Amino acid sequence: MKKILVIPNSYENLGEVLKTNVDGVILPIKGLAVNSSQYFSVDDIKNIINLTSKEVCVSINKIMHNEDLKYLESVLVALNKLSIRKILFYDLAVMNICKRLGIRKDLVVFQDHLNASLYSSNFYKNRGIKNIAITNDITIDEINEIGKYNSLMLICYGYLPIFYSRRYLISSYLDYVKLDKSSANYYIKNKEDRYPIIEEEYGTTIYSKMPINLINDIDNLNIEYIILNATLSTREEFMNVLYDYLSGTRDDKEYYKGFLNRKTVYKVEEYE
Amino acid sequence: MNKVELLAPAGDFERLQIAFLYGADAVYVGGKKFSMRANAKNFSITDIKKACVYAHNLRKKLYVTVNIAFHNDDYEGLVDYLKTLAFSGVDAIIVSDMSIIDIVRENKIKIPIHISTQMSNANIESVKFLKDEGVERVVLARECSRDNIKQIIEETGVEIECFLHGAMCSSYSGRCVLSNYFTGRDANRGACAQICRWCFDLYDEDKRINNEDTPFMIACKDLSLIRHLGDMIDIGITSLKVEGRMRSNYYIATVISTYREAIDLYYEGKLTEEKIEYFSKVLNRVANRESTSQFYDKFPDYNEQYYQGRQEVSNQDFLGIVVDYDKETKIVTLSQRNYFMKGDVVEIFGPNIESFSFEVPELYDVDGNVMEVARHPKEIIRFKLEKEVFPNDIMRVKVL
Repeated sequence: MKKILVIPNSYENLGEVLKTNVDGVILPIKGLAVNSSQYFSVDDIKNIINLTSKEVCVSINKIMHNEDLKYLESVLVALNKLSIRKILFYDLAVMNICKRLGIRKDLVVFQDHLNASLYSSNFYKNRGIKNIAITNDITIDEINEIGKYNSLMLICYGYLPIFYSRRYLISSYLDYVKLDKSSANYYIKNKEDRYPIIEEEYGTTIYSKMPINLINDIDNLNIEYIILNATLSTREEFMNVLYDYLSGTRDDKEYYKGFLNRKTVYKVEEYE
Repeated sequence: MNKVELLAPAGDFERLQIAFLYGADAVYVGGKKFSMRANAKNFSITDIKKACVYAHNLRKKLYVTVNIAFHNDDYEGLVDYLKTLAFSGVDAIIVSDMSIIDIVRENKIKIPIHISTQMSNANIESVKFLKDEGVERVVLARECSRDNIKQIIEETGVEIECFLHGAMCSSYSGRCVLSNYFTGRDANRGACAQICRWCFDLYDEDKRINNEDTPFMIACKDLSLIRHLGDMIDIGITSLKVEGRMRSNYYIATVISTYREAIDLYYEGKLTEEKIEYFSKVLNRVANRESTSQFYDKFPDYNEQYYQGRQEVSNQDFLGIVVDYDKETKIVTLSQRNYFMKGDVVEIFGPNIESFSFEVPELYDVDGNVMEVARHPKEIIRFKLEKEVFPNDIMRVKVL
């Protein structure tokens, strides 16, 4: 039975989610995570663990610079004392610090686009990583092949980050054209498609034109964990989706699935 | 301490020769498979073997990129390919997929591994992790500041390579799949459609913010660290990398020769502000976009971004390349690249001469007929020149 983990988009959303039958939540850590609508401090996480028996996981998916390392280390030490189930990470600094300090929490590779094959997943598995949050950039066949040998997590619902820059691209542009920044929702348009563009503390992210939804494919996916990401979704939208997943709803609708059923292309000449 | 390495790109064998001739200490190339410039001409195995011999005869180095983010089907032929590279004497492979580390080890392939900027390593801990995995060198993320780079060098003992010059991704490398989602072309397997250079309309709710003249763009200016070259050497960077496997012979010759001269002058204690200013002008002239120091010495703002739309101008300074010089008749044989005519003021530069300028004299075709203008690409032109020049010296518009 696949487990369902939710990345909530607010404290209120977290409260609602914890009242349902989800298996757990993934909480992005303040100062060490990106691409979420809501971040949580270590104290928040302590409180949340005390309030629920569900699996509480955390996300540390920022690319780290040297100035982040002291704080990162202190957070990992603090998390080590809590009953956190899993730490989803992007940067190898997390692996190295855990190795150095003997922190034995379950680490989950969470690298958006870099981890796209069985062999790259095995690299991490060979080093004690028990779960891989596999990329959404590959097909169902590729996912299932990797899933034969690895315990996988997959984002099955949510807006996908498809560009992440350290730069403040909206602020820079508005400075250039001498306009003020509002706190509203920005998006860029390509033909008729709208792509949300969000600038936050650690840079700028562009998201997919709509949330992917793999609800009609999850029975055929060789994964252990379904991740439902509420980032950028409205409360109502997300909770409706969550209830569908929890109730095992399947329907005939055509949902946006990214690359689940189509391969990306690139030109490669014959190897001589 | 060893002298800093000047590392040049080469999209084909001719560019490799130009890069070495104009002063590169090492060159990096991509093969026909597994490389992040899938649409470049790239190097066959035969080319790579030839390139290795060529480089090593000059006591220089050759690196091969194996830097795509692999999908399951992409591994076919990889082990044999890596073994062939090792056997050919390739000095290192540049990788971004961690699976390659285990594949090299399990198959006992003796070839040094450099970690690509695609992995966006930007801190001491991640570099130490890679060091423990036996990696020889890490190409740092271009988002690293000078102080970050210095700390990483001091605290890890790993060879550190940094980009010195060339185009930049606006995103963290490896975290952009705009090309995938907009066009289906895989950005992390060498087919990036450079969506970051497109013009967009920016909306705030349903209101368009930009007007027609100022489209929203996410592209950034190019990188140029000529003004920080001395500092980069002083902080202990092992290799200074120029971007551009798709760039022209002229670009490579100009950029590499400029940095070669600057590096050598620095080691001699003769790199003056005046010289840096001149080099900066030469580099600006050959580029088709403005450049800045990006993240090296400050956090970028709109000054580091590119809002000019798709108005890059193709450089027409490159006039020709010397094919031959007859010392007795003092006749230059030149292969034309852009329009020029008698009376134009031009200059010739090359790895073994000091650049000099002159007015173009009477021009002749291969049959000795007088020509008014040289207008056809790769047309062979002849003219008289008192100063000796050499094959592969370059003639360009005199602008400085």
